[in-house]
Amino acid sequence: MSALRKVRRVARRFLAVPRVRRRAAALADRLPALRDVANRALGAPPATTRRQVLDIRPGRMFWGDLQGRQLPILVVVAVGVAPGDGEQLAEEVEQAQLATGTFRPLIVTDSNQLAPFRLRGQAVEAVMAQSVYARINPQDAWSEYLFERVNSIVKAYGAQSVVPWTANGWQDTPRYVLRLLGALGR
Amino acid sequence: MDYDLLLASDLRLPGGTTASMAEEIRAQAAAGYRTALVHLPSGLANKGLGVDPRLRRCVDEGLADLILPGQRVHARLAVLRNATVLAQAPVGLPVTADRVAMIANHVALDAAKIRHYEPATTDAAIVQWLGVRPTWYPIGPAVRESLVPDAGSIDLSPVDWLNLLDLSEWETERTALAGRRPVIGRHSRSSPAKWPESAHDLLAVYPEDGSVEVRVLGGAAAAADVLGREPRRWIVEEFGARDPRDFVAGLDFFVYFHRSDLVEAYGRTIMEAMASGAVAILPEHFRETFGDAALYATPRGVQPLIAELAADGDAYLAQVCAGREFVQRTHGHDAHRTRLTELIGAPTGEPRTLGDRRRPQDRARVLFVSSNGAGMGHLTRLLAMAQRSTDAIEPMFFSMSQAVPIVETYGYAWEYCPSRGDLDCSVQEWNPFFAGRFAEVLRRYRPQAVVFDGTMPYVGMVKVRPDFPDTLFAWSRRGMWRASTTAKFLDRGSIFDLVVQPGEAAADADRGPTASRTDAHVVGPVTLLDRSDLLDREDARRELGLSDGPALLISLGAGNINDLTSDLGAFTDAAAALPGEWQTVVARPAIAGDVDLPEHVVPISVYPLSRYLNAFDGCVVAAGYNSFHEAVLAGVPAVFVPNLETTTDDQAGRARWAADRGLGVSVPEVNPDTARAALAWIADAEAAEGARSAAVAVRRDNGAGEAMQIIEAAMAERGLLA
Repeated sequence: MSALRKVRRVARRFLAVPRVRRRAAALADRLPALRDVANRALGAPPATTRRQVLDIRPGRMFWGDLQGRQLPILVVVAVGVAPGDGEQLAEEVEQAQLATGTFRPLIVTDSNQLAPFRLRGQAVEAVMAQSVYARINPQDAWSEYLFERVNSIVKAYGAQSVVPWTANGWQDTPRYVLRLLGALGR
Repeated sequence: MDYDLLLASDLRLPGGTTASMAEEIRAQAAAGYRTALVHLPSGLANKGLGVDPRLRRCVDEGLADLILPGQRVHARLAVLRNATVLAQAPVGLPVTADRVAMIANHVALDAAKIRHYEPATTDAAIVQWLGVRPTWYPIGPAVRESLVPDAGSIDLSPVDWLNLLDLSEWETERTALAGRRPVIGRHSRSSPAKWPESAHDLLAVYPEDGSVEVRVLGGAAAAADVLGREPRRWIVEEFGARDPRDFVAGLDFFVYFHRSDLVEAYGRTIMEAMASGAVAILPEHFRETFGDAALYATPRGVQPLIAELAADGDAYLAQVCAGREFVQRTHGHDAHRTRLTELIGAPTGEPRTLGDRRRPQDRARVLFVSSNGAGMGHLTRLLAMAQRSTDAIEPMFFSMSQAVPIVETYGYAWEYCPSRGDLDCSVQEWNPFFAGRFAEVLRRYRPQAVVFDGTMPYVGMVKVRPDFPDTLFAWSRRGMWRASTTAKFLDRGSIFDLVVQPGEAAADADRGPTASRTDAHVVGPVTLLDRSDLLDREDARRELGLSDGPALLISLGAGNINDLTSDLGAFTDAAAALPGEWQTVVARPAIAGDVDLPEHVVPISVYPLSRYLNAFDGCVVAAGYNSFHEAVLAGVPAVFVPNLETTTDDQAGRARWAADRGLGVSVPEVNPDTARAALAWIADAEAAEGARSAAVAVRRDNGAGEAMQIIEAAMAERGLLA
């Protein structure tokens, strides 16, 4: 057995003790450099490694292929909205994007109409509608499915915020509030 | 607020504590007991800081009320879990209770002499908080033994508080092994204490020689430490990588051996496996807990025992029943209701009807996976197969086509994955993204088979395949590739258990790399509709609102590969110039972009378009597989416009072949002159009649049903049909 494997084995044995593990976790939270060293020693990926995330199109409100590519990705979740609301959603997102210039939209919808987003060059992800999911996977809760899907989407795309879009849309939201979409202290 | 029960612990802890609480909440709601849920923050939760999903679901479904700090609550019985969490009296929780049950779900002092809690300290904290002395209930013999030294300072109940499990949620239909290789596995965290400390014992229990298939959920780093290398031939998935219900459903034997000094509090994963129907094989010391419900052996005795049961179907199935019966009798909801009635009497609320959490098992799920392609061809071929599956199959779709919601109109569920083109990202970014998404879908929906239609099995698909050895993978691989197409995609075909090749009318002209291969089951041309499904001329015209005059259909695809605007313009102009007042209809798929059309053109967007083909006297269609074979199916004289920018599909070859046989004309380069000449041919009555006759001569039966028969037979052979 190699020396490194022996070190890892001993470290894992120590970390199997709950108190040791808790204290190590607390220490690692305070000292990121120590966490990285420990991760390397244990063969775990360093926490500072950047995940491979998707660099997606920003929509059609920018010029050329590159403008807007550096903007943070904003996940707009629209589920349970009426069929046909996709047009309104896509349009409102475009209006907000034009007004702020602060984000790239990624629409998450349970609608069966994806064309409004495609036609505007907006990235779109779909989630299964609640009624269909209840039929297909009755043993799981749709709310958990939605939570996990959006979580997974946020990680995959490196998105930095999630905002809901409800049946009333953003029409009643003041423009000065909409302006905060994508305002992430950049 | 008054409740029958109050359940309190750190609601964020993963594993047995919160799983048991969720199960009790469900049992209580079903019986009519009203439950309050109280969170006690502790330092034990260092990963997820939100309420455990199982408890969240109970709250979402209204089965329990989540109590916040400051809310005054009284309960007839407070059930507290995890003595470490209660080492100190909670503050800011004005809760009272008539009786208190402290459920000890882990040992106070483990075999390594690590003390996890002081019973007397926890006891005092509870009295300080609720003003009532708790009765301590261990969850099993091991925990009871660890509490015996403290029996003088606490009120230790003579009965255990056995955790609950809903058998129906886990139960999987089982059959005897009948000569196939046994699948053994285990589910635990990858802690060194969870594995035998000797390499000899470890390999005796979990061999690498291929005599049994070994699967591990929870990681095997600690086992690798013992062996000094990565285990060979095991299928290892990390903790939480998939639903444990699905994992144990794939095991014949749940074999759990751990380090000799570990004291397992109970072994919920063992109970779950037995509920599923996997036969549990354990070290002797578990006999006190599980009795005849499990089998016991030394490490060396494990494999002979497995071989014995694998050869004796009756004995195996008897043990399956014994495990299930034990779980039902000792851990079922009825047992909990009886326990509560004895402690606090009848419930004060109305019984709730709980949703069924059983995974449907009456049909075998088949996941039809399509790439996006130039249009909807891949998706439509799969839909044709799904439509012809037997009642034993539950089709579901996973596609990169934005047109995938169309399958919903056929009653099928779908999931979508954006293609690289739709996201405008790089291949390096998209490949791992797809792998993750594909694995996610497979784990969530657990199909028995995957049918992929596409010319290029994705890198992510190849990467994920080994993690799903039980799933049958079939490739619906259309032929007629361009002669220059790289064969590297064909090499990726090794991940498939079988290849079905949708037939090609123009097979004589196939010069591509698939033409010489003999690895596929070649079936008839696959089209969504049979000839008998097509509307007759009158009905089709009526539904489309066409008058009696001649009618021309132009359908050039979605235009997602090439710009079709100028081609469309050339043909609509040429149609306008035809003698005889032809009606010109342009079909636009749902996923196509907007195009301005001349006033004399009638736009339609219907699916499937082939249903209406008899309405037309001629058509201008792309020379893709589906359009081409649908035109042949209907026998409509056709102008074939090959898309020359596809990656693999030899549309030019197909169109040439059709022209050579008089089925239509091929127009590889569209301009006003070629469009006029082609439509003149369409308008020529003699040529049109010849085309109809030629179509009859080359027409074959729809191969979609045959393709599904082949796939279902392969599933049946593997025991994948319900």
